[in-house]
Amino acid sequence: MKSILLLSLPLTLAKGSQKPIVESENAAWTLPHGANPAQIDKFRPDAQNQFKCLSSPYTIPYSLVNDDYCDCPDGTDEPGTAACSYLNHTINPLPGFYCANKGHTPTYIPFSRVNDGICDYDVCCDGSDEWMGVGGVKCEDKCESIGREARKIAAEARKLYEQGVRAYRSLVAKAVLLKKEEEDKIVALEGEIVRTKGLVEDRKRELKQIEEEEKSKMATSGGGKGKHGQLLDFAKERVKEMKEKLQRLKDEREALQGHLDETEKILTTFKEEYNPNFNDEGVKRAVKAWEDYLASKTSPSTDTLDFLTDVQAMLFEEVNWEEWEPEETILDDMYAIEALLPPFLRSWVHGQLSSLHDWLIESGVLAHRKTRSSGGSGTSPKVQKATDALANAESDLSSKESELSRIREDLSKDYGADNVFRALKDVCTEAQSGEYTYSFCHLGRATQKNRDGGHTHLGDWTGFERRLDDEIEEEVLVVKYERGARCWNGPERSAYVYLRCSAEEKVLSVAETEKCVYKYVATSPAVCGSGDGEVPVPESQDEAWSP
Amino acid sequence: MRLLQNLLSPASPGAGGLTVLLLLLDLITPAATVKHENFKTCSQSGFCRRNRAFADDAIAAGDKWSSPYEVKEDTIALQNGVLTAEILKTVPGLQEKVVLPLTIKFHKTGAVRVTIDELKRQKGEIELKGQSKARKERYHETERWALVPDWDIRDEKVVYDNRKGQITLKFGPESKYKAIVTANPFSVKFERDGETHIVFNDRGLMNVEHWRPQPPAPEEGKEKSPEDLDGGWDETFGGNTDTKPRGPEAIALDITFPGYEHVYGIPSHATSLSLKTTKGGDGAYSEPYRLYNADVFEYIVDSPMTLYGSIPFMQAHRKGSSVGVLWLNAAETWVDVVKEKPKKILPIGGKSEDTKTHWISESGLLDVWVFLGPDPATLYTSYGALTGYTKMPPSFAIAYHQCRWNYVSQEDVKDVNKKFDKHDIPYDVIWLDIEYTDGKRYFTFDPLTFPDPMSMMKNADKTERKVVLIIDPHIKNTENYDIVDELKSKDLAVKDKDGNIYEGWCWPGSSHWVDAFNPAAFEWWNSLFTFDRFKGTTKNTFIWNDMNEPSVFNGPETTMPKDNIHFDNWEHRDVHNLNGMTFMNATHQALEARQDSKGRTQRSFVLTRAFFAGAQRLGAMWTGDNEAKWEHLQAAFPMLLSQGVAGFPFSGADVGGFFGNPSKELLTRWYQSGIWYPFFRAHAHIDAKRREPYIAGDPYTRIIREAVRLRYALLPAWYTAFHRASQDGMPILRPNFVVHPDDEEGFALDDQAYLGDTGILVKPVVSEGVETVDIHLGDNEVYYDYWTYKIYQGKGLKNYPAPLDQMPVLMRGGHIIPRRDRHRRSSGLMKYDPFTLVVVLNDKGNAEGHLYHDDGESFDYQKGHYIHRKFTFDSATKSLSSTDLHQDPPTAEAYNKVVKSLLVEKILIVGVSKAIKASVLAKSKNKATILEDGKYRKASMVYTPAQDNTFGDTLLIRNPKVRIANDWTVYLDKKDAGGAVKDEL
Repeated sequence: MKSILLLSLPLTLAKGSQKPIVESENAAWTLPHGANPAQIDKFRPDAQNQFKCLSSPYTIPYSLVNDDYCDCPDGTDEPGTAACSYLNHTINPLPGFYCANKGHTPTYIPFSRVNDGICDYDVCCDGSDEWMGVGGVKCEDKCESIGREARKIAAEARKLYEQGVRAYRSLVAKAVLLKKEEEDKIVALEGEIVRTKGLVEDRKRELKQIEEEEKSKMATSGGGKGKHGQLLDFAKERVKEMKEKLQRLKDEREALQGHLDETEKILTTFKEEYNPNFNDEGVKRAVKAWEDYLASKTSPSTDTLDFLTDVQAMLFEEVNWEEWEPEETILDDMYAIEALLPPFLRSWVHGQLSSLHDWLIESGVLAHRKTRSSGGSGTSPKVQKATDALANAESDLSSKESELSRIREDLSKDYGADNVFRALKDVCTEAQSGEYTYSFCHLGRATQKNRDGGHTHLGDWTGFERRLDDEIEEEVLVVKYERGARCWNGPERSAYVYLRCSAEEKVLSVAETEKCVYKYVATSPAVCGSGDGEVPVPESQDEAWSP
Repeated sequence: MRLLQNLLSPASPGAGGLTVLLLLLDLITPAATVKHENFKTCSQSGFCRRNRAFADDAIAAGDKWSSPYEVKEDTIALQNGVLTAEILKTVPGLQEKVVLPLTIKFHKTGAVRVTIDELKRQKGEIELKGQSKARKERYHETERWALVPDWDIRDEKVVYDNRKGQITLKFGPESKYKAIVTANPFSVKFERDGETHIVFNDRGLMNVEHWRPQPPAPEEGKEKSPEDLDGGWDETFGGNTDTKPRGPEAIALDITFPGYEHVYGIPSHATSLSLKTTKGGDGAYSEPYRLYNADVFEYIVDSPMTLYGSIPFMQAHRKGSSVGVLWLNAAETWVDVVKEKPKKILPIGGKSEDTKTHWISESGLLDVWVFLGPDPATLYTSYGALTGYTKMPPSFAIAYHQCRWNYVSQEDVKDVNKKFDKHDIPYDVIWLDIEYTDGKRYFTFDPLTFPDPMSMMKNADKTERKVVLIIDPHIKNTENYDIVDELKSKDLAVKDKDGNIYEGWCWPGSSHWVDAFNPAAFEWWNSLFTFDRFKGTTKNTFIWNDMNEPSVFNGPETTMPKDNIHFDNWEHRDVHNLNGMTFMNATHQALEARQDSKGRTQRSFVLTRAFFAGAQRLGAMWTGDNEAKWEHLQAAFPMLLSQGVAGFPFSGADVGGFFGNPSKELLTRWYQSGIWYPFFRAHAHIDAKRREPYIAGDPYTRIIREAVRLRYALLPAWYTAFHRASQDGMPILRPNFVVHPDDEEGFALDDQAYLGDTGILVKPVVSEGVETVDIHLGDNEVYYDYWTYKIYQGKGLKNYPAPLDQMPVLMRGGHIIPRRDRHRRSSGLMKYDPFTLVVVLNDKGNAEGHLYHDDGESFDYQKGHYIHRKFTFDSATKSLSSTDLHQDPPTAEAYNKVVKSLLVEKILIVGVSKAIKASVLAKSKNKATILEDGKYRKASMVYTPAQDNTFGDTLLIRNPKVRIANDWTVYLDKKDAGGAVKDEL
């Protein structure tokens, strides 16, 4: 609101065109209602018995202070009434009406609550906000009892906090031990890995030796075509076989694709045509599941389309076998025949199509068929044995390496201050709220359980952040659980656990603050090291006013 | 290779396979919108199809067409302001003519009612199909529900003249109105001051489908009998078959408004205020406006499609004249509107077009009220004299309502309450949607989420706040539920066509419906709301009636079968559009009957979704399930203006949009718009994100807070506007054509409006990214910006800056606006606060305004316990005075004492004229002289010059402390007031 009109009055008065109406006697002067005693000098009338507006350059006759009419453009002439409550918050430098609350903690109450006929004891235990007694209201001073109660509660909270700090220290000690364990594991694993690497090298050498032995055997035995010819025949046969398999799988894939298209079409129509008002839980669940399914589908990438084209091309590609007719020293090249279907492609194509096949069997779309034996290989037992030995060694190495990297990653993770959450790993807490039981596990999962035992996944631990806990008006540590089960018509569920310090792991409350976003308020000793949730014992003396 | 490497990346082979499989599919469907296939078009509704075809034939035949209805002249009689006669319908191939009794009633206010019935059906001389228990008469009880109980006040002075097949009736004020009935073919022309304003059966489209036995199916190869009407005996839609036991029985009439280019009304449709034509063409609809209360899921805007409620009142307006008709029929109704160049000579002031309407209803009487104006205000008053005026709401009801489907627990409710206070945003009412109940059993609370509703009510009451609970008409059909047990044992539910209790599906699953047409059901319903019976409710609990079209999830068009049977064996077909209102009426009466321990009662507040003409007497309505989209924000204002025209101004649209999630900008703009809705409530769907005003954060929260505070500051003006609506039917939010009835450029304007008589003109921003708006000024009066006093003057469009934090609001010169500027947590907590009067002078230096005030909750105002003041600023005497408008001042004395401490703290005069300024500054020494209670005193004045001549200057009278209950005068330049004048700053 423009303040043209507001500016005008003090301006004219400040020019001294008028005499003060009422001569106030300094001896009888008292601090105006609602003003903080710390500002006593600012509220004292000047020699001319004028009041200077606190943040605007105007003065007004002192008699206009707290006369229930807003004169100062910044509203500071009415520290004790609601007359200036219409001003935007940012204009008035006074935070509100100052309740002295003798016997408890002094505080400010917004001007909008002053003289409205309601005793706001939760803020002004002394009832001073209703000093004008509008509508006949009388608010007696309840600071003694309210203050006593508050101090009792605060003392209890303090006790809990102190216990929490002790619990925190032992958690930290435990976390140090756990971390040490992991570090020790690293040292041990590193040694093992060096040893295993040596073993792998040995196995490789052995295999190479055996292969060479076998090759020379092959080259010197066999029919008219020689080993090369045999291999060529073998390769032709394998390529043919591959093509057939590929074709078969492609056909199966297309047939299944047809089934799937049809099913999806049915479901799409179902979703479009069902009546959402009909509120049939079964139908809603089905539609939701369908929507989740659609949402989790990746859009087709051109790469995949290219891949399918490649498969198609491969089926029709003919190998010019003549090029591969034996020449003189071609022995080594013989093995390169596999390049016709590069091994990784061959295995991958197989892998992809057979896993698709498996998936379809699992989901009941396809009837189960007996797996083919992987026989027909032309490898000799000796080579096979050496190959297996190498594979074992390699797999041992890789599992050790991955264990090592897992531990290293774990050690580099944020487990909170002093790694304290390491000590709470998999510790779970739960509480009933409404018709559900809500639980969360440190570094694990948050879950909503309903009465009939069903579980809804609210999210997995993803880390920490600091947020304002608006109940206690403090920034606290929030543990995030994200990417839970997707909501009907909504996002993936997530849960945020606002932690306050206490010796006990306990869920205080759970609320769905947003659709599918859950807010837990919980206590844990894990945050007792950072001062979170620390409850200061209320002081009974006045606190200094700071602008 | 690249391809293969990329494809090798999937983490697990299973997922890889799935990916491959799904990659080719893209079946995700576009976002859902209204399910058109669930609702009938005219061609899918047999009687509409038949009558539209009948009209097409008649129009095609041109001059050769002759309407087959004729008044039998020897049956005409006039007695006690009622003319009776028989109309004979000639049916091709039938010797016998169909007798249709005609009644024309003349109302004291000058309104006329033309009613046409069917003799055979009156006498019950018809056969019903099957075993139907339905009544044989045409339904004639619409008046019982829609009109006020004492509507029948006749004009006894009708002058009658019958010559040459033409009956002329003179009636109305000074007998200036004329109804000219032509006998053959039957038509009625209504004249005022010698001009024809309304003509019935002008185009010969009148049609009364008389009763006939169902003809046998035609033999093969033969044509069916002309009496065998298409779709007349049964009709199937969406898998539901309507058995139509009385066969075809539609009634239709064409009503022409010669020289009228604009017609308004017949809500509720998501369309413009000035109705579009419906027979195709550029920007026109191709479907008639439909009135058939229905739960339309995700409705679309700019459509003649039916919505949740219907008021069959239409106003025709042109420069110099406003007239209207009420089509008093509660069956399914369709209205075609066309505009044509007239064949005849234009009436004075008439534009180049006639508006021609065609009304078609499925059953019941042909029953039309005609109102001859002559201006909008008189028209609304005479319409309201019949259907009733807006009920004076409790004062909290016009403050801000916070709703959501759902606040999930009593802690949630308390938390929202706390957050509003923390963020210093006032609100009065928190709402609970269906989830508060124990398994959708109304009159219960969920024991887990609302274990102690009383503590929640008390918590709200601490700051004078209220809680509104939803109670719907569907009663869960389940075991161990006393309400349904009583409903069944007392036999108070709607029946199916066979007379068994009707069972359908709604929120609770299988349900039964209370039949509020049954007087016993009213009594029972009343008993359910007493504080003793409805545990957990108290005096600050009020009720929301939703789904009362009724919404039946598995019914035809999501409502009840038309052959269902109500109390007294009336078919649902006959009463469908009344259904919601009767239910709302039962709730309204139940709330008014609630007594506290001391036997005190209080005003009711009921929000309804379904309604009919007359529902304004019972509570508020809202426009149903809109969407969080800009086009729905745009649609709201025209819809609410239309509600005002049709006599039901206590209306709102869900702020924020019900479905979906509004952007912060949309939400903010919606609040800036919503503070001007007579019913101001934010609401959100259960799947929508939380969006209470404190969630968006600054600057949005700050801007919303300022908007809501403006609503609160203006509550005295709103309450006064409600009072006027309750007295004479003037809309609360007024479109340009009502305020400036001769401003032809503004007849179609529906995106700006005036608040009551305050002269406050608003044009909310309803588009994204807008920085300025063009406001249309309907006259040459001076207008001031509400905040800066910048001057806008001159008829036509004015550009106004409207960035996000600015609302386009102007004050028209000549008005006085009562405000209460102090900020409080709720309107109830403003009750001791002083008032501010903003005096906006017009070009002549004068202004006038009103204030109505009462306790805002009890019925004491009916006993005279209210304040009604008129404030007048007179440039000649340079004084502002307050005079009494109370109808019976002695009855106000007790109340005047109660409000003795209510004062005016500020008088701000905007646009001080030069003469006043010169004289005031010269003589007054900046002191105003106040005369109150026979004594003089003084108050300071501060003159603030305008920064330049494009702004208004102001004169502030500081803290005059005059009582709002008193007569007083404030003189600006009285030098000597004789005797001792007390100085008061």
